[in-house]
Amino acid sequence: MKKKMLHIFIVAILGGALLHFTLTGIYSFSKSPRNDSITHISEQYAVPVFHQNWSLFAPDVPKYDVQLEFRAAENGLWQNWNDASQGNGFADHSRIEYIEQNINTGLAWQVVNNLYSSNNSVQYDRIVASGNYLQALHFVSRLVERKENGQPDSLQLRLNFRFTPALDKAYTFQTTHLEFPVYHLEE
Amino acid sequence: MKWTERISHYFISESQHPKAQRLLEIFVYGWLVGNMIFLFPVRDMLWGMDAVVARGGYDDGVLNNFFFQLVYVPQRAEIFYWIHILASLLSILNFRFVFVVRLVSWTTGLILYYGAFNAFNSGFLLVLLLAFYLAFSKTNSKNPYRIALNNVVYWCCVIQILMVYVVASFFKLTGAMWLDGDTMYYSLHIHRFSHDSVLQSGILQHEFAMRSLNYLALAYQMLFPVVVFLGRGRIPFLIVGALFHLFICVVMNLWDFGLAMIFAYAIFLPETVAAKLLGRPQTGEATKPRSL
Repeated sequence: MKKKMLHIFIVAILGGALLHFTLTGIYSFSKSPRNDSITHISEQYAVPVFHQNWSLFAPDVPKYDVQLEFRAAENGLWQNWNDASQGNGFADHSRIEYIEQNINTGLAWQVVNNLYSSNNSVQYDRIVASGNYLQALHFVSRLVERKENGQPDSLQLRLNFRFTPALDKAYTFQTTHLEFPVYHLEE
Repeated sequence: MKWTERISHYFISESQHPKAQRLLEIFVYGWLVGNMIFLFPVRDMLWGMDAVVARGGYDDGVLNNFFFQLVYVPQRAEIFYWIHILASLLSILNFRFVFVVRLVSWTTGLILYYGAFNAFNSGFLLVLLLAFYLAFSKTNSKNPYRIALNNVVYWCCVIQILMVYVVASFFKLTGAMWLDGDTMYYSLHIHRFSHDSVLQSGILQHEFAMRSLNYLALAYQMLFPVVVFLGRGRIPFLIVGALFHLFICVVMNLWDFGLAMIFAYAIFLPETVAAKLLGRPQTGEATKPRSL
């Protein structure tokens, strides 16, 4: 009887493990949004407790380096442009820089997908309404506030891109930056 | 003997890899403690009232509300931070009700992860998944139920690590860059994954070196799920993998991810090697089950 109970126990935990890896496997191989019923069920199961993402450096990495820069205005006087992390006293490879880079990834995605022209002018409305832009703004304003012990009147963000030349091309780098509209903090 | 009986016998006869599993326990919970100590100087900027990580709304639900609670109640951050450290520290030990503190370590780890998800990468996620499986492990137990559970935990850890390599390889093969051999070159030009010394060394302009590194990394990841089951080639292969992940730590500045992967290799070590690393000679008798 005791042996039978042990066998039932083994079958139960093996069945549980099989179900777990089937669902987390489907979740890991599928991409968002998971709309069809099976991938949706796998998402319901995996998030938040078994969430996983193994697509670091895949499928492709960006062909550019991007840095988030900012400038702040106090009583109408603008400071120079500064790197968001290093300009606020954090080292090149600190955790705060890591957060900045994750924010940049989202913001760069917004630039690729939501920057458009209308009436011969660049339109930022979709980007500034996005969560990625708000994250960046929150990140910079908190860092500035922390360093200056107070909020500036206005903030402006920009992304500084440095494009990597192809491996078999001349080793020269093109740089460009994209300035977002000024944000007034009392708004 | 029927195949079902053979499987059953395999799981209840004895803990199959107690030393390797014990080593993984120490590494996993040790990693969690180290991670939090490393973040100590910036913890208020990650989770506290003045966090620099923006907080958004998430789907409602009991589980979401529980694991995302720092998003809504950042005042609790300090409590979870210290509970997580204490629970992870105790989880390294092997006492009777250790699964309780291990579940606390895992739960608080997830809460802290979601409280500042932009500050973390898959290294934290992998360690948390292993921490969950290992919560049910007790390698020195002679209870037949615990022995069966130990063996299932062992295979869960193995499958989880294999899944990392299989999924990562799959997604790499769906793009063009890895197949063209350009990924290492472009990655090392991204400042977050590089160093000034690397950028200025001129090594990045060596096409052969860059492509070789790319294909070696890809081949390693694709071969991993097969080679770790080979008897003779496994140890040299794991050493190459550890060096590869050390490169990710030192050159690409992903210390948390790189160390998580290196530590995870403990589960693939032969028992004799794991015993040496634990500082205990292998006797092979401690994990035999009590008779039923």
